[in-house]
Amino acid sequence: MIDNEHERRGEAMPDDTGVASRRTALKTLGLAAAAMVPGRGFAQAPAVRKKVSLAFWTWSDNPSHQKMLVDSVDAFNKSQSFITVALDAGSRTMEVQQKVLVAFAAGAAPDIAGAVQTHIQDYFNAGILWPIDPLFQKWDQKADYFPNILAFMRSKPEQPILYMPQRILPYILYYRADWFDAAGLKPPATYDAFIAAARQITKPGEHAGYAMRGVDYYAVQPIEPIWGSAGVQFVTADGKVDFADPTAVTVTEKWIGMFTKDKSAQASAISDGYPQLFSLMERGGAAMWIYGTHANPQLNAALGDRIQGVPTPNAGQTPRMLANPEGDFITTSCKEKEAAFEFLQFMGSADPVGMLAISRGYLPVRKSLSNDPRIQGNRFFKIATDHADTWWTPPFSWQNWANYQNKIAPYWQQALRQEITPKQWNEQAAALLRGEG
Amino acid sequence: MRRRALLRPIGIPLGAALILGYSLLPIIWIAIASITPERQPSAGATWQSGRAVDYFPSHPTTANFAALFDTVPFATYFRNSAVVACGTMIVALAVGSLGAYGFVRFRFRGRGPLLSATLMAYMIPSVVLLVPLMVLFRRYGLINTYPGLILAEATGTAPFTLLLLINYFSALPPELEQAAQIDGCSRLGALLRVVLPLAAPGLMTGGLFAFIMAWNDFLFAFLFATSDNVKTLPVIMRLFALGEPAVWGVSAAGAVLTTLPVALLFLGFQRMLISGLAAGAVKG
Amino acid sequence: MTVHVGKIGGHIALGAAMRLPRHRRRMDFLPYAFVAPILLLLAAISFYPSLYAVWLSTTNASLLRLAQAHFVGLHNFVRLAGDSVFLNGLWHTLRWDLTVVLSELALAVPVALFLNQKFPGRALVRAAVVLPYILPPAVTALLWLYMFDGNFGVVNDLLVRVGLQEHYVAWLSGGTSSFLVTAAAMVWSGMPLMAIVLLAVLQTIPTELYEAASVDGASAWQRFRRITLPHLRPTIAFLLLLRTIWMSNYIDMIFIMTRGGPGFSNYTESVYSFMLTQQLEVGYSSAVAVALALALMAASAFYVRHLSRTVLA
Repeated sequence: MIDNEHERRGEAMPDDTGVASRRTALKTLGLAAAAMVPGRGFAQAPAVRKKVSLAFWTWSDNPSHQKMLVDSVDAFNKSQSFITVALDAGSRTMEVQQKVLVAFAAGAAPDIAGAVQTHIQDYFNAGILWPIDPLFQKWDQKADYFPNILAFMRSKPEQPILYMPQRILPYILYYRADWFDAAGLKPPATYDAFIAAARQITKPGEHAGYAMRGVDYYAVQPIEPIWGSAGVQFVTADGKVDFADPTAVTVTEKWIGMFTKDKSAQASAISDGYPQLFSLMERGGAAMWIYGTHANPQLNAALGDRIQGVPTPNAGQTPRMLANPEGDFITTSCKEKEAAFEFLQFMGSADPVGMLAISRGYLPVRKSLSNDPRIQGNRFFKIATDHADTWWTPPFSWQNWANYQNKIAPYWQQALRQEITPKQWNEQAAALLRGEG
Repeated sequence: MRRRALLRPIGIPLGAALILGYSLLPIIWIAIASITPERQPSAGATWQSGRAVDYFPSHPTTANFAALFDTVPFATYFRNSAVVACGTMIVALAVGSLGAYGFVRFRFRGRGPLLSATLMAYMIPSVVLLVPLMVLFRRYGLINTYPGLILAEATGTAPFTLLLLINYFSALPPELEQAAQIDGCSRLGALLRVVLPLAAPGLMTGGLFAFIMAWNDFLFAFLFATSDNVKTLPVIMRLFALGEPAVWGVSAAGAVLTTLPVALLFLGFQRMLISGLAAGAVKG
Repeated sequence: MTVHVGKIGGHIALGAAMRLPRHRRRMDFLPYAFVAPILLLLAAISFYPSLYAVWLSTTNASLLRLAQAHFVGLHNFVRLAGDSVFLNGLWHTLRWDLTVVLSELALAVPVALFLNQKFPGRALVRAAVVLPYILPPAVTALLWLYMFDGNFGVVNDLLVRVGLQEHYVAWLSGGTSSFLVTAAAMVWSGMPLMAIVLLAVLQTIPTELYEAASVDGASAWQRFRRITLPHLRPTIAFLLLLRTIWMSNYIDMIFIMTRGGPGFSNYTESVYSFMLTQQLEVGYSSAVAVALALALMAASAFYVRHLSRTVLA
């Protein structure tokens, strides 16, 4: 059906070079196998027939990610002769958000920008994000998106479809199966079992029980699903902040206790970020690590079968798996929305997803792309897909979430250094969530 | 005297070794790291490093340098740094040499206060200028442009160059110019044909400093260059410093290449630069 | 080299201005034409922005809603008086200034004395001394960050091998240790400037003074106390002043290596202002910067007066 549609449109075109060169370009991405899945790639003829140039700002986690973005955009530009996308991908996630906000205020926003779920509501509230709902509803592949992804795309249930996620990043608990076996321990399912296991598996001078982050906001992120599973809502439906409630504080105390009391986290936790934590896991310096599935290719390469995964521990109420969607949105100042949407469709198609999502350890958000053998055969991806019903994010749509996320990091370091108590930390965080400070 | 004569054969090499070690070992270490192979990444994986400390890499490689250009638009960053540094150098030399000549060769109403004002401008901390320049640059579309960056770099380099050139110009005998003027040269002609050639070493020194200061600057570039098209190397160094994932070998290669131009300039023009440093007013 | 020392020591009168009577009338505007470009440039990029910073510091401006910014009087400064990050920042700034500047001096004096001797390879050693100063600070920060890393740092590896440490230490996790590592990186980067300036002064001291003292039987220490030190003293005072001003404003090394952390333990006032800038709170950020500049103004004014007196004959 789609193929017929494609050919019919192709005939109507003055020449077929657009489609042909798109095929060629896709092959050059080196992911030709995935591109061959019929109807799953970006197989539409371009709807936009005039010369259009679009600015696309997004972030790159590292240089190779950046290269993939450059290649994807190149492939899009070569695939048709009407739309030219200019990519700017040299900044990091938080910097891109600031850059877009400030540029918008100055009337110089890009046409398309990359965003994590965390920032979507902010962008929408600020009037920067143009909901793609009208174009999305007309699209014949809209049913290909997982139902819970469609909910994320609205950010709030009553809102229209806001943006196009390309991939999702579920967080799981990685653990050293060999050490757990030797110690006769089972991978922890509950939060208390996790804290106890971290203590038991620790060998002072050799390895820590848990690889703990401390340097930035992402230190707190792995705990978010644990708070969530304990029943903490951060912000209740009627706008009350419950993050300083005793339930939340108890979770914090136990976590910080791993570092301050149990000594089951590594001594350098306060200043450690991703490079340090990865190096710790890789050389056998820690037994457990809560992190995104994007670490699995590297961990697997370094440790093989010794590294295994389970869902993040449950602290009592409902199991939660932190799963942050990431994708692209169209700005309100974009003058060529259809062209921009065409680019979003491309970014959601098999090749860019194969490269920018699957090969980097992210999961696709579309059913048709989830049959990829690279997903089916991966034990870590399987944990995430098996528990897809528990995928969850904290209330990113809350108006003060950014205030909390941007300012909490130094206080977390203070809590680890015992300059403030866990309770004081929660109170500080709650104040930031209330928009104070 | 005697004891001193005895100590000298040991003291000099020992002192030299200490100083050389302190100054050079960190640099040598990063050079070694830049030729130490990264752990091979698995297929499809982003590059990673679980590097153990390796003092004498058994298989030195240039792969890190290749990876640098292959995976980051490093050549673009390099070009950006060069454009901004050269642009700053030209601006600083142009306004600095004219100003220095004016201040040295003329006595005019307001000379003292005006000179003090330029010195005061030099003392304005960059942290005070960050926010207003950010706001003003956004208003006038100078964010993410070369001219914007060059102007920002000029806040420090222009007054510095002025100071340095005042020194050089005032050491030149005015009689030469007078002779030139009697020969029919205009004042500007005298500056161009007599003073500037004589002050060439001073101009070189000022230019080199302006270049190096702009090449090395992090703060303005970090705030005013958020796009790959204008980002300079020090901004990339910070990304490497907190890079996800860790890419020690490639970061080290980047650090080596970032350093190389200024290090070579320094080694090539040591005497000039050291005499400029000795003038003492370098900012930062 | 010695010519330029005059500016520091203030011994040499410079600037032989000349008058050409023939052109006096026409030339009245000419000097202004020469100095106008730099004055206009600085007016645009330094003076006006600094005044603008003062204005911003009296507003509640945020970069996101600049148009809605309005005057709040001294509110930001009142807020500073109750802001623990700012108040602790005073101490952090002082600690940073003193540690860095005095350490630089403590290293620079012996290095300069050493370089003032004649020995083969002196030019090479002198070049090596200056090299760290030429390195981009961002590179130095990266270098020291990696050297002192708690998981794969070469310093940890060496200390463990030598036996001074049992296992790796997380240098950047501690408030004091992260401060010391950052300060050490700064000293490594900044010391050469002091050493070279001091060396230039040492080279102006007439050797006859030392010879005479030796004949009188003065020991090396006495010669240092009675001849070298008095000659160096004005320059040392000048350097301490200048470096303290610059170090109070310094951001790069602290920001890249620690982001001001752990906690707020390395938030100097300039780093605090910079962090606020990044959170787009430009009004409050300007208030911190302006407060810092005011505090340094007295020192700066003293320096400017000194310079303009010595530069301008």
